[in-house]
Amino acid sequence: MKLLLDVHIPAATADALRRRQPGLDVQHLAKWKHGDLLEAEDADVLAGCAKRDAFG
Amino acid sequence: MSKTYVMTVRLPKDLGLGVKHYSAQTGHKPAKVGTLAVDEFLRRRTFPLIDFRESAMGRVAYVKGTRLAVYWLTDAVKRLRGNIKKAAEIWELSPEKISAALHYAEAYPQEIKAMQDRAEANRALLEKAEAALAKAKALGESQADSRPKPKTSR
Repeated sequence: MKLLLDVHIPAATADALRRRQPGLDVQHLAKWKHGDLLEAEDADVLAGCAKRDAFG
Repeated sequence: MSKTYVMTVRLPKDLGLGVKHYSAQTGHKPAKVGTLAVDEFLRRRTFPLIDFRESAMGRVAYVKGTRLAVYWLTDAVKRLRGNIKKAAEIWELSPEKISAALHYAEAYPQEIKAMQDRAEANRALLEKAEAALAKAKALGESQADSRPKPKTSR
C-alpha cells in the first residue's frame, strides 16, 4: 500500500511515519511530483494517483 | 423593503454564451449565475487571499494558492485555540493567509457553519460505513472459522 498525505496533514507526518514503519511508501503532496499538485483540485490529485507509475 | 435589487446588464456575446453554457452545466438559471458571479467578484475584491472552487457542495471558499478550504482551516485553528502562529507553522502558510480565512469566516458565518455541518455529516456517514464494513468482515471470518475443515490426506 502506498500513502499520499494531503496538505491538511503536516508534512512532518510523512517522516514520522517512515521512522515508525521503515519501508512504508508514504509521501506528502508538498514533495510528491515536485509539489506540482500542491494547489491542484481533488480530481487532478486523484487522477495523478491513479497513474500506474504515480509513485515512481 | 424588497430584498432584491434589479439590474439589467448588457454582456459581450461571448460572455453571454459562457453564462448560458455554465447555466446549462449547473442547472442554475442565467440570472442566478449572474448573481453568483457578481457576489464572487465582490468577495474576491474584499478578500484577495481567498479563492473559490467548484466542489460537490457547490462553490467553496479556499485559501488562495492552497488546497485548504476556509471552513476546514477555521475549524483547525479553533482546535489550536486560535493560535495563528502555530497554525502557520503546521500548514506552512503565511499568518496573513490564515487571518484572511478567519476574517472571511467571520464575514460569512452561516456559509462556514453550513460547510462544517456538511463535512461533519459526511464524516459520521463514513464512520458508520466503516463500522458496518468491519462488522461484516468479522462476521464473515467467524463463519469461515466455524465451518468444518476439509480433511487433508497424507
